[in-house]
Amino acid sequence: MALVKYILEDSSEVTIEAQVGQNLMQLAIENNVEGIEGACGGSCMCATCHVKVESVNGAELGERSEMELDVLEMEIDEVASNSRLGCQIEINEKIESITVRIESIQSI
Amino acid sequence: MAKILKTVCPTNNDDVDADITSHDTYEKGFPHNAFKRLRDDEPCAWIDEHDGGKGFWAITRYNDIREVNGLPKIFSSAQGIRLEEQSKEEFEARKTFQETDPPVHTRQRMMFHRGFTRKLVSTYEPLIREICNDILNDAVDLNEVDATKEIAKKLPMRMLGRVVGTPDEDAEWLVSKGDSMIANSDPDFTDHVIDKVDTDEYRFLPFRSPAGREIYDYGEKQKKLRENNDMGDVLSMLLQPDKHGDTLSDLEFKNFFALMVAAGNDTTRYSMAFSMHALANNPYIFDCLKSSPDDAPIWSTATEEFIRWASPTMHFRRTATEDYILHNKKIREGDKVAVWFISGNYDERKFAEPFSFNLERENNQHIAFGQGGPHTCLGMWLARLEVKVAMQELLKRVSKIEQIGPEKYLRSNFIRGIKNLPVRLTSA
Repeated sequence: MALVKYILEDSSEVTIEAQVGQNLMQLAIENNVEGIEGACGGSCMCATCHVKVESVNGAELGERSEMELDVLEMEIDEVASNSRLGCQIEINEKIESITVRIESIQSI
Repeated sequence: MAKILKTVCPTNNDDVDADITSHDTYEKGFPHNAFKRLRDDEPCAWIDEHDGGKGFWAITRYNDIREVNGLPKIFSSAQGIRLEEQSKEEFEARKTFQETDPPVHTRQRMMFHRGFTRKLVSTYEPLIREICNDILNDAVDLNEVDATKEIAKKLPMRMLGRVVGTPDEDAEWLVSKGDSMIANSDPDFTDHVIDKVDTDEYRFLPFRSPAGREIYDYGEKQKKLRENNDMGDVLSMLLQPDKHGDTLSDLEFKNFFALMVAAGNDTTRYSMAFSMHALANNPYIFDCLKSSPDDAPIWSTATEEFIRWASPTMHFRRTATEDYILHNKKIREGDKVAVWFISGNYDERKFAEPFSFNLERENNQHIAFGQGGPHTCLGMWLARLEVKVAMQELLKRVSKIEQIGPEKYLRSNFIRGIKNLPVRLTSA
C-alpha cells in the first residue's frame, strides 16, 4: 500500500491509499479525482492523465518509456523532466508515498 | 438533477437465442438480450461458426474485455483481427498495423499517431464547422431526409479528406469504396457479399474486396503527388521520416490508406446516425442539448454517451498464444477470442443503468474505441470532435427532429450501423 497525493489545478489536495499494481490514472478515476480523464483507457496514447511528479518516497520511479516520451512530446507544449503519464506510473511494493501535480489536457 | 433518459434496449431484436455470428441477426438490430444472457450466464462462451470458421470464445463482460485487451502478448492481433479465417499469404498481403503486436505495432502506430493527436485534431474544429455548414443547410432545406445518407454519410469523409489532404470532389467516391470494403457483408454496399459470392480472387486485397485494388491505386497516386512536395496535410506528414529516421514502406502506406478510408468513414457515420436517432426519439435529450452553448460541459459528457450508445465497432478478434483460464473455461493456444466492446459498454456490472441514455454520465469509461489496449482507435479524437460538432451544428439549425419511418440496420456482425434513418427536420 502507498499514499498518493494529487495536487489539483486549483491547488487543493487529495490523498488516496493505493494498492500495489494500481496506476495513478486508474486510481484517480476510481476515486473521482478531478482533472484526470484517461481517455485512452491507460494505453499510453493520450495525455489526459498528465502529471508532474513532485516527490516519491521509498523508491525511484523508472525512466519514461520511449512511447511515453513520444506521446508527451506530441501532446504537451512544454514537457518537463518530471512530466509523466499517470497511467504509466504503477504502484509497487517499495513506493511508500508519491505526490503528483495534475496538469492534464482535457478531452475534446 | 441528473439528465437521464430511460430507454430500454434501443433495438427491435429481442431474441435471447440470436445467432451472434450471423450477419442476418444484426440486420434486425443489435441482439441486446442475447448478449445480456451471455454476460449473465456464460461470460466466456464458446461459439460455433456456421461458415466454415473454427469457432471462437466470446468475451462479453466489461472487466474481462479490459483484461484480454490489455494482454496483447497472450491475446495477439498478429493472426488477424476479424473472425474470418485467412491463409498466411492472404494475411501477409492485407496486413496493417492493426494486425501486429507490440513492439512492431508500437513503431508504426507512433508514426501514424503524429497525424491524429488531440493537440493537432483540436485545431480542425473551425474547419469541421465549415464543412457542416453546406451539408446541414442542404439537409434542412430538404425537410424530409434519410439522415444517414444526407448527413451522417456525407460529413465524415469530407472531414477526413480535408484533414488528410484528399480533394473534396473525391469524397463521394472514397465513401463508396470504403463502404464496399468494410460493409462487405451487406448487399446494399457491395456486389461481392463476402458470405454469399465467391470472393477468392480478391483474397489478397483489403477486406477481400475488389474495391481494395482501386483504393490501393488511389493511395499510390496521393503518395506520388507528395513526393518531394510537402502539401502541408496529414498524408505529407506521414510520408516524412519520423524522429528515428524511419519511413513507411509502400505496402504499409497503401494498407494504412485503405484502413483509413474504410475505418475513418463508417464508424463515425454510424455514431452520428445513432446520435440523431436518440435526438429524434427523445425530446428531452434534444431540448437539453439545444439549450446548451457549444462550450458547456454537458457536450463533452453527451458526446461520450452518444459514442457508448452507438458502439459501432462491435468486436475485434484476438488469437491466444498460450493457454489461459477465464471463468473456469480453458482458452487454448491458437483459439480465436472475440472481445465484444459493445457488450462491455452495456454491462450492468460497469455502467449504472446502461440502457438509460445519461447526458451527464460521470466517469464514462466506455470502450467503444477499444481503450485500454495497444490498438485503441487512432482516430478517437477526430471521431469525438466530429460527432460533437455535427450534433451542435445540427441543433442550431432545427427546432424539431422527428423519425418518420423505421430505421434499417447494416447487415454485419462486425460494424453496427443504422444505414437508413428517415426523419423530418423542422427548420429553426
